[in-house]
Amino acid sequence: MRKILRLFFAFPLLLLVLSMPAIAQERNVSGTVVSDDGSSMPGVTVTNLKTNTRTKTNDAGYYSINASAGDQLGFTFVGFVEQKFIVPASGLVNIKLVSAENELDNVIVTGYGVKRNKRELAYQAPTVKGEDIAQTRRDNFLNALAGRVPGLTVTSSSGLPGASAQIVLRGATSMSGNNQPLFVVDGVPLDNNGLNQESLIAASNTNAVGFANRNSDYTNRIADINPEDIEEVVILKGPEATALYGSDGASGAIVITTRKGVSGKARVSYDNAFRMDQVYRFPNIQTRFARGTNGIYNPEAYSATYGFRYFGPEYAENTQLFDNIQNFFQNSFSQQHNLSLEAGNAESSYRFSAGYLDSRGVVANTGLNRLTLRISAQTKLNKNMKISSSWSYILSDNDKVPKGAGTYYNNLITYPKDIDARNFVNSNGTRKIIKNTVDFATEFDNPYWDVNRNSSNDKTNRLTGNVNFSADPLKWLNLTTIIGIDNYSTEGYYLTHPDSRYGFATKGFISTYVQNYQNLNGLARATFKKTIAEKFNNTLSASFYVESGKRSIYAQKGEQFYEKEFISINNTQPLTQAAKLTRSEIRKIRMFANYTLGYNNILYLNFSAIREGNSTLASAYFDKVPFFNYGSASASFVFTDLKGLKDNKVLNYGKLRLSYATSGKAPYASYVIDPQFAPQVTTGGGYALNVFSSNPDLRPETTRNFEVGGEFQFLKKRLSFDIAYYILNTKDQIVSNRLSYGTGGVLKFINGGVVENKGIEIQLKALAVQKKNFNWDVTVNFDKNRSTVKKMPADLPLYYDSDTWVFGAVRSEVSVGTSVGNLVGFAFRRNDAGQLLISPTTGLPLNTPTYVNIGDRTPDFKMGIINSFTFFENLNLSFNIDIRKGGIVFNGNEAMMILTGTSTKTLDRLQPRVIDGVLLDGLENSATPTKNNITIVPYYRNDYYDGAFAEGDFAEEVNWLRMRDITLSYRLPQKWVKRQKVFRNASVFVTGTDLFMITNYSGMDPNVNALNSSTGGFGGSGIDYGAIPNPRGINFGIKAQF
Amino acid sequence: MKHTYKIVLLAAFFSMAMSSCKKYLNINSDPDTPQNPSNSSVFPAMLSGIPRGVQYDARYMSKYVQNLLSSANGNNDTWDRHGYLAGSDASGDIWRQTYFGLGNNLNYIIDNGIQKGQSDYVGASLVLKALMFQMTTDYHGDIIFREAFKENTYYFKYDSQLVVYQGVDSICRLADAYLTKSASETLTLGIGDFVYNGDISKWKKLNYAILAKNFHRFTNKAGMYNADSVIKYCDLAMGSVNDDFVIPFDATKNDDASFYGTYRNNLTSFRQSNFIVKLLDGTSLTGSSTPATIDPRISHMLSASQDLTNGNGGYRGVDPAIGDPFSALTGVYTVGSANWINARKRVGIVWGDSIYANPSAANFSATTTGKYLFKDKAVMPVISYTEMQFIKAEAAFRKGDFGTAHTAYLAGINGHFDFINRNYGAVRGNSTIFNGSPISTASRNSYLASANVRSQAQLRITDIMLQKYIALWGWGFLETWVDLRRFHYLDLDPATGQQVYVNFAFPTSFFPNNLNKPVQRVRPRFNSEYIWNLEELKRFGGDQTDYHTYEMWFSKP
Repeated sequence: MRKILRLFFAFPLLLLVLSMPAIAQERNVSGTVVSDDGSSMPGVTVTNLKTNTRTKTNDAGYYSINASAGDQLGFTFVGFVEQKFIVPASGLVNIKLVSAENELDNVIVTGYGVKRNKRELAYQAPTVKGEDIAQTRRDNFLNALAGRVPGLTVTSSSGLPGASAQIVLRGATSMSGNNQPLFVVDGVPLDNNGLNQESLIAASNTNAVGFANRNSDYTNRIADINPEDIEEVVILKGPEATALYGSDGASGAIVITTRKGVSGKARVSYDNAFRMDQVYRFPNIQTRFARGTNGIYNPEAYSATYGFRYFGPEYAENTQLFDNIQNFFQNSFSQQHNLSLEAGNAESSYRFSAGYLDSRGVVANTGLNRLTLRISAQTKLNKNMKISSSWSYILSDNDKVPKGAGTYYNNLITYPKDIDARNFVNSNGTRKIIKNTVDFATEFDNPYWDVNRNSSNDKTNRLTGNVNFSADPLKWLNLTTIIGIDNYSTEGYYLTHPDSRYGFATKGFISTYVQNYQNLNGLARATFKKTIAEKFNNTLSASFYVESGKRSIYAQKGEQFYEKEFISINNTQPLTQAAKLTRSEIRKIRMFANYTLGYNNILYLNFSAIREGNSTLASAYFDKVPFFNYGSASASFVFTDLKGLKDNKVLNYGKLRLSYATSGKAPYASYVIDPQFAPQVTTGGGYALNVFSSNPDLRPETTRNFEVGGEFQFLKKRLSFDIAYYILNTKDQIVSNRLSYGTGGVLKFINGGVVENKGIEIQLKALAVQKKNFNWDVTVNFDKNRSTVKKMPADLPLYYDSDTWVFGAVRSEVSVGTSVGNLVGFAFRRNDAGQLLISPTTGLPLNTPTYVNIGDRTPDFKMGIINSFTFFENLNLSFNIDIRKGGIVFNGNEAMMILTGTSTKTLDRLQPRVIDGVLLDGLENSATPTKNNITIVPYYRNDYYDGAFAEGDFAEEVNWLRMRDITLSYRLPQKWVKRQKVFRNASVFVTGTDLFMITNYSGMDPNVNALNSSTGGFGGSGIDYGAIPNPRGINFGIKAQF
Repeated sequence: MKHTYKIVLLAAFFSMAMSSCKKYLNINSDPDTPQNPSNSSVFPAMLSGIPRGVQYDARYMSKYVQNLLSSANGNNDTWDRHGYLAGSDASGDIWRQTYFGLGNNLNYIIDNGIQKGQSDYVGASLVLKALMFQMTTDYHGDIIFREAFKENTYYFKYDSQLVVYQGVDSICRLADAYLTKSASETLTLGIGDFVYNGDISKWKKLNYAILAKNFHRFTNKAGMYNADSVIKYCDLAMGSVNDDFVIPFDATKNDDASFYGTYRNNLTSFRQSNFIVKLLDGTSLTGSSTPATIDPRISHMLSASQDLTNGNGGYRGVDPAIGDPFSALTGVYTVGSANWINARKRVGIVWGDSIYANPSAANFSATTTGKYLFKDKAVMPVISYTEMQFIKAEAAFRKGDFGTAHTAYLAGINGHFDFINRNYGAVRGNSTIFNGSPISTASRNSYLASANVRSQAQLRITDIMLQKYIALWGWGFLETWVDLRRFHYLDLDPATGQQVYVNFAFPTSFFPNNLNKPVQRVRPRFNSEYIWNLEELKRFGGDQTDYHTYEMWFSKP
């Protein structure tokens, strides 16, 4: 074993030590070769491409070769871009070789600030340009990524400012844990958490407010980044990439590089955008039948769960009806302004930027105000040392309204059409209610009341920064240190007015909280580089990473307001006040070694080994080793550089990739190993064990990740094609599962369970037309992912997420054989032959409280098509079309509209019908079951609508084609610009977002999330209940550079 | 070989680095809650966890035993009709408390106490453990017992009632040993024990009371029943109402107020049954209700309607699944109109006389509102002296020792008067439960002299059981249900040829799944067992829709 180890270490060292001295020759063309940093380059191969004679530069970078004028000379050196030069009639030929690292298109940032040559990469790593993101003018830049990258899914939780977006790469691998990728900005991880409402304190009365990540949305914090500051986004989904970031990157990583100052004359840029948003998709609400039951008028007809019911007679002919929904949504106006200053010289540069966003929502009292200040600077301390640093300060203020069941959107749908919802306040300031009752809790809030009186708000202050120090003490040694800070504090409240449906029982309820987050991390890395025998370049790096993340949530609640309208915890009755503190700290240590062997720019082999320590595995009582190991191996092979394949007219570039990696993942929650005692508020107080049983036996979960693929460029590189196939197998899944109470707890983090994700991702890029005055670029992204639960932890029958239980019995639940995106719901009873069983007394199907799978929310495939047309270099039109095929969406809104008789699908209620099935009369399983013959006219029997539909009937297989964004921009021609001295560059643009959608979905918007992004597993995406659709928006603006 | 020293150095360096890394990572302890709290911090939560299961589940069980029933006219209520709610955790709270609420917490206190030499906590926790398991098997029948709390186990085998009763017996004996042992130690139980304030002798009495009940479960088991043991442990148990195991409430917020109080407002749709009204107004015990036969306890326990003209002072009750015929008359009516007259005849709500709605929901401003045990700050009794006396009376009666039986019977009745009259101020400042003023000695004596109370010669098992029913009404739901099931609800008293539970009637129809059988047990908690331990349930029919009508082991001969 030791021998093998020794060999393992000796091998790269050997390669490093060996080095071939260059032999110089003298002929008639000569010159020196320098690298882009000005240093002379020994050992560069100089080839006369005509005669095929070659030589090498000497220690001073000097060469001399036989050549005649007009011959072409080639200069090659590993790690540098090949240069070709036509020999002039006379004079020296001095060449500057550009490091492949510095050639923008060939370089990609992967690990903590590590730049890699794209040729080396053995995995698909698509990139998105910052300007493409910024031009969509989205508040939350994640929404701009949709469709631009294969294998990326973004689900927004609503169309309001500050709404959170859930992002998943490849597929959900974890049944209950976090499936969102890690965000790394300039080598430093940044927090993307939303607030988990479970840290808040519910109201004392069960009829009042409870918190389960449903009734309010909290921005996912990565949205704090101003899209204008982004230079480039790299999406790392592959195995090796996840191995780079350990536990954190097990669901992929999104690596963001921010804009840096460019050397040269000081530049000032300013741009702005003014946006109008409008809701254009509305539910189809019937306007024929009035409130009532079984055809009889009753203005009090009501469902305690969903609101007014419309099973009465037709409205009288002269009844004035109000389009409450149209009236309710407003066209909103938003604006943003961005200013940046940059300057620099060869040694130093800096950039300062300021962004201001004022985004107003289509619902009254919603909005997001955000101010972003950022400064970044970099300088060379001396010949061998560089330092760069950037700091951002973000102020964000988000006004919100309640969300989900029982709030304005659902109440708007069930609000009586013959009453104008705009009159929501009585003359004495109390809430106007329709039902004849004094109990405010028996009627849902008027939608206007809800958004005007039940306010909530979050204010965030965030400071993030990094310092990046790099030194090259030796030619072959680089030392890098990165220190990162991410610090924010959010202060928020959620309130229900004393006259509101949910505030009545408690006479007003306010929940306030302060969330503080602090992450400090540091990285130290040594990289050894050596090229030997001119063809082998070796890179060995060893790194040490340490991180400490602390989160604290100070929550308070109070009830019984003294002043109905005053918003403060001080306005509540002291005995109703309660406080709760939730803190957690997670520390991580990672040691990793990475070795890359490149052969002649053609073949690269990459190996990495990581040992990670994570405090969530540590215990104060049990002897736990909080460390675990994983690693990767990969190969990238640029076969088109082989002799014979080189300079092929059709295939210009071809690379094959193969990689395999394992990655470990510690428990995502802290404090689950040792017993957890929770404070008690019962008589006598004290402590008792938490609902989560401790589990000292918890192990890290492991993901085995295999990817194979290739990149191909055809026809003078005008067409490129990138394909990846992957298998991702996660075993020992850590799941917080409910269990038999015989365990002594209700839930427990347990290991076990295997989830497999398989998929294919393709990116096609083409310069379809390349003419002098017209360019057409097109990018097509395609992905398909299947996730399958192969085994459940401890062979438990199922896992479900109770937060997703927002409508009826529908919930996110997985079991063996299902996808992680599986939904279940109640079904109807059937006989052995599978026929529907019908009650002989009601003529309606019989429900069983057994859950059946109602579908998988994972799409069959997704496609993004990005087109960019440029006319006369000045006029550009680009748009992003997003296509999704298949995958179910549960249309909870429609289910509610059927149950309440507001859906247009209930208009045929006068039509008699017999439900197809057999009667449950004892003969149902005999050879001759009795066919149902009970005729129902729903108009007279509205129990039909309660009983005739199972939840699965509202699971729709959804396809869509949506115009995510479209931009038309016009740059003022240079000749005009040159006439004046103020502008250097100026352009105007119009951008439309979510302009239209073609879909078979019967609801408003299938791209919805019933919860907020902090729910784990598949979360609430694909459950459409109570979230408003994305409005369409039009932006106008200018961009100018001074 | 010359590299050996380098490797050793390297290894030494790494192991040092690793151990300091491990230290750096060793912060996985919640800073906001202690992970090894003292027993005195955990014990209070155990005490307040005891009434929760019964109070929550009595929303259903009280209907089975007809303490309280559904109010609405023609309600056809599932539980009134001995049914259950499939796919729901309703009626699963005793289960929750036994395994989760107290469960491992008691194990923690016991282990911790043994380590630290706190035998008082160990003993008291064993008593509570015995109590919880006994309640759970009385309620569900077969339950998880031997495998409960087993580490690394996700599916649990159930044990039979016999195994659980024997197990409870062992736990009680162990508890007694620790309580005895504590005499030689410094006692700290008083810090956490807000019921008995650390009085070991009272804990011992409670432990004997559990043993008495345990022996008493075997009345129908020929060859296993031993009346002398029952009597012995009854005598060792509570000596007066001051020994009663009653859990107090602080009533400062939702979670520390009684589940039955006005603040928490959980009994809005419940009404007193006709069965209890007839017991207290003399109908069932004397054959008629006259002023002389009306029990003086009636005005303290039950609620009178506004209309007092029904002959017993306005006390009305409801029958199962039928409810109050006038329940819908909630409006304001012209004085003297038919609706006005009928509205005044509605059955009173448990929280007071002459009222039909909660006078103080979600409001502590009047902590004295409510009636009897249905107050925010009224204690929840768990085992009482009175109960012990009736158990003793039954045992002695079965043995043929009618003298002892009669003495215990009278002590039981007197004990319940004392229970009502007791000043609970000494128990963490809890409210009194009598209505206005305590029952006077004169009215007690006149009751004892009335036809309701029998002489030794006249004493029948019926009298013992019915007086016990009265004494346990409103809190001893589970013991009452055990009694009713032991007597198969409708068993006849050989002495009278009439039902022991005079005037007890089943609902006109049972819940459909019952297949015309009365309820005998409650299904285990849905979200614990029907989802996560279903295979085991199937072994003994627990998955059957009529499993709740399977007769209990203890009531079978």
